[in-house]
Amino acid sequence: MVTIGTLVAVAVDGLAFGVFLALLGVGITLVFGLGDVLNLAIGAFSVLSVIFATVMLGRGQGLIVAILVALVAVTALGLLIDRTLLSLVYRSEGEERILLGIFTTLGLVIFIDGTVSNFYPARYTLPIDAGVVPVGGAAVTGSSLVIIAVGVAMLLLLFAFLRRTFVGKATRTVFQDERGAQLVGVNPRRIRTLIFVLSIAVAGLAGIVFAFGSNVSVASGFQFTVYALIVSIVGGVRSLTGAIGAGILLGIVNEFANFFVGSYVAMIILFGTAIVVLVAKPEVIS
Amino acid sequence: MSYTDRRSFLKASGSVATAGILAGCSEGGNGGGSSGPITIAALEPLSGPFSAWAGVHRAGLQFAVDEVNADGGVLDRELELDVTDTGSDPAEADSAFRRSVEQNGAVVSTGAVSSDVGLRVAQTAAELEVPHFLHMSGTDDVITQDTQYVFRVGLLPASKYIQAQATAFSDAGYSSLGAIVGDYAWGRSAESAIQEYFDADVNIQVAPLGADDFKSYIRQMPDDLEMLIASGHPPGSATIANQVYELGYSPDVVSGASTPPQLLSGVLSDAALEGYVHVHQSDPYTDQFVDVAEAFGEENDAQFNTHTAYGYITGKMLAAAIEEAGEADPAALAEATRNIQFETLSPEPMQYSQYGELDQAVVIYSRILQEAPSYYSDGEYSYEELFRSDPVPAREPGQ
Repeated sequence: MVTIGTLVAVAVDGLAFGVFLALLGVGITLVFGLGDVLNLAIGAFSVLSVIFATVMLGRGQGLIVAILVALVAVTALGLLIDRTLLSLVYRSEGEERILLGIFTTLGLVIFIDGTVSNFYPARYTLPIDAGVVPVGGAAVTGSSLVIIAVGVAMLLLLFAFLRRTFVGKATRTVFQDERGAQLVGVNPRRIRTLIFVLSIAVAGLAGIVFAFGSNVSVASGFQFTVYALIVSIVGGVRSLTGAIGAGILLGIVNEFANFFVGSYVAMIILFGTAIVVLVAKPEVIS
Repeated sequence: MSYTDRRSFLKASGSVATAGILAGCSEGGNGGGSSGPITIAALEPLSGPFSAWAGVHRAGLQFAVDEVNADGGVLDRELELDVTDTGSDPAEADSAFRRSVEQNGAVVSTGAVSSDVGLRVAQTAAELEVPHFLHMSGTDDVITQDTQYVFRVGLLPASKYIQAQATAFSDAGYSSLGAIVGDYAWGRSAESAIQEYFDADVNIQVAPLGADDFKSYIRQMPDDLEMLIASGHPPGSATIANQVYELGYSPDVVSGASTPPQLLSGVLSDAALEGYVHVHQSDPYTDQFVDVAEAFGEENDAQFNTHTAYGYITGKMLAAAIEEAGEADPAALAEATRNIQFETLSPEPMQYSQYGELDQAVVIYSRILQEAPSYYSDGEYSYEELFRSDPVPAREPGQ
């Protein structure tokens, strides 16, 4: 018989996974919502941040320093990508930009995966000694609680930036009406650069928090991108709050499905939810 | 162009084309002619879930090939590797195998890790009549009563692997056991073997091969778990070990799969390192292993580990078999291998049954230590032997 404590523990694990999904969903939604670029390389950046952190740990750095350096490194890489590859994409408009963005970021994924797997072919983790919190006889892992805390803090910071700062408000203006934003002196291209770099930082943090509790390999990048797409579709591809809500909901549902009926059914539920949303509201991806 | 000119042109073109086809045909199947290098097809999963296995296996294989060539080669010919990334995809491995044999004249192949790939290349080996030396691929079904061209190297078949483990840990008297196996050929074979050879009632959970989070499976385990068998899920065994201790369980032993140790040393938590048992069929405790490892470390500035040894053993054994056969012919090589007793980096000499199953192999169970070995000061891990099995007789296919 399943105890209440076990249900609570599974719910906490689900919330942790949901926060991870929410971070990925926010990352992909930011760039698509603002710049009509579907970043299929978002999972690869998540994996890169874990690898950077592992390298720094191997050089004797502490975990916090390693994570900060990794996030800086991966966002710097994101900046480079934005100023080079994505500059070509942004020259197009509308559906042409969407298609070009898809193919460009797909090529980027293949390049990153192929290159990185030659040097870092193993699986990587960032174990944190966060202990266990006993709840009614079951064990809530400390790593899940840390993931929730870190992820929520990041999301709150992001929203604070978008709502409370001048640059954040300018960003929202570009989201809503790019022409209008230009007329009042906002440079959309710079805003897109900022948002792309921000999305990479969010994705990088998603990879980091995932590695607190599980192992990550180069092959994980594709899986992370799929998760990001599902969350973004379910939450509305241009809605950050929708992405967060969808991520958390899907994370909790996934964990309970994993526990009670198994991983395959859980995966069916994830994909099935995305399909149902697409069928019911096809306008979400327009 | 006049009619006569056109006829001449067509005749000349046809002659050139025919000569080209004949030249191409004569290159296949005999290792590039009687004087060119002898080609070994290395079908390595350099990308995908088993990439960590491929990297070290290829390095060991290349080191062995370089050693053989430095000693004058085999039959006055050099060995060369034709490496392809199969991505752990059976169809890709099949294509690469065929391409290597038909276009590059490979006389032997090696490298299969995933059991699904092993099953496929076994069929290809039988069809092409070119032997394949498995790196891993432990499902029983890879070798049948009809098998003539497949030979195991680094891993016993699942039934024998689990049987050896059950025997090795029988004295501990564990009664509360759990197992997590992968939902693919090796995992399912391990599941059947666990049910057959472990006396206690084992709580077996089946997880997808690509799973990263095993908490929901671990939570199904009994609270007083004494031994967790992670051998059926090689890519996930380290995560399973980390998460079982993270969830507050305290098994004495988490039996690993044949996972490359470099995958373990940087991944296992401190708690998991105490309980995790590395399973291997190469013997790192011999002087011969140390000598080879030192030479490898000097040349490659990398640690030679238990899985690098499988690639090395394969390369050296192939050379010995070709030498014994007296020719670089696939069928002769297969026959020579069946009759071989090859002293190498394994606890017992490498020898085979008529079907290609390892005979009298010994399995060693070691703890991973986070300290450099004597033969490579920049290393990050070494080993401490816990048990070794008795020599395991070859599995009889069909029984």
